[in-house]
Amino acid sequence: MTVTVAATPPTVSATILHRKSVTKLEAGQLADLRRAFREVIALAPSDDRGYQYFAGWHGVPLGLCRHHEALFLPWHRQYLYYFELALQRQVPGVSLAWWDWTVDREIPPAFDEAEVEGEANPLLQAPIRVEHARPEWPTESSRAPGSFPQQPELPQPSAYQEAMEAANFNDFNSLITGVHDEVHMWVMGTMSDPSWAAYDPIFWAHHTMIDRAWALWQAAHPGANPPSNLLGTKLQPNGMTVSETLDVNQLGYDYAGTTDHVPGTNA
Amino acid sequence: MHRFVSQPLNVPHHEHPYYRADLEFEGVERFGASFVGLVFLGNPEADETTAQTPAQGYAGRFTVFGHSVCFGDAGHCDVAGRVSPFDRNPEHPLTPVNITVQITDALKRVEETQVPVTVLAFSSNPDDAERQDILRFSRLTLVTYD
Repeated sequence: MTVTVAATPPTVSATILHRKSVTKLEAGQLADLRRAFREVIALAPSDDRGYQYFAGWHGVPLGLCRHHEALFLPWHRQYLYYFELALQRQVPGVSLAWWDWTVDREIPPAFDEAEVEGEANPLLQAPIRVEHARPEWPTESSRAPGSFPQQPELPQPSAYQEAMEAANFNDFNSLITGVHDEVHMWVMGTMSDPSWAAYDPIFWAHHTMIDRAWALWQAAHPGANPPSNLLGTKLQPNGMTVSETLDVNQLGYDYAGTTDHVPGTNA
Repeated sequence: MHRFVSQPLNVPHHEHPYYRADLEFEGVERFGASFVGLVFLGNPEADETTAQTPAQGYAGRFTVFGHSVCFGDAGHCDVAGRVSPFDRNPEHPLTPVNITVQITDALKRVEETQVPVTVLAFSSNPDDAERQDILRFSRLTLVTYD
């Protein structure tokens, strides 16, 4: 007889991965990131390991993203987590990287170069392959940085700093949401509409920066969590709870300025 | 550009000192292109040429990350309430939201006892340039904290 068992998950020791600034990736790390994007983009739209599947969580066709509310940060943290796992399925050990738009005031070259070693740069652009698409819908991601007259520049570093100095979660969430929105509006193109934003590879570097901001703010404000009545809320579509998003280490990653490794005695 | 000018809001002055003042836009609708709102106090004539300076009553800005595409059938983007008390679906993604703009310094510069709020809303879609319904919301509240 076969039964389904509600087994207690074993606890295991594990080494976390470190997400880094895209400008600090070593050549091999950037190559791995590109290769992982290239592989997930190549998968069929119907494949739930692929780029179209995950981009579709945020906008068309699933539209599950949460903005301008307390679930904004938790929802996007679990989103990055599952997408990073999809990248790691293609390239073990690869990590997302963040775009620090407070310092790097243009699209980072890694995401802006048309070609790398004779191949199209998978971090520049991705196709949008939605089933039953309407004729007016975009078929690939696009950008027009600084073209919106009311958002000619990226948000000022002072706006980011003001968010980081917020005293409580609601204020932090509100202020960092505003900064987040302004980056989307500066990039423009498909990034200016949540229906298509996640199809642009720069989306992931932008949101990794937002997630890092939350992680840094959390470290400076222990216990300053989202409202307690939301902690048990299951986030769509996989059901991770808000509580489960609160500790990035339990999700297998952290944010590092630099990392370096040398072989040990058993290497 | 869509210009909204509110009815005057009462301004607490010395009789009610405060350390922080917020403008709360309640029930902001999100179906439509993303847009930016520029907020001015006491300047109902503000337009796209107005400088964003304290002298012009500039108080801050906000962005609404809007959904411009309805990818379902008719009614898909109508904000529906819960089907029943047992409905555990998340809120409709286009449920109107509240947006807060901190205006402490700008409000402290206001000398009158009442002030109208002007919002200039600029859509990211050039086709919306003439639209006068870019900003849609249910109520504007001025909150001060003492």
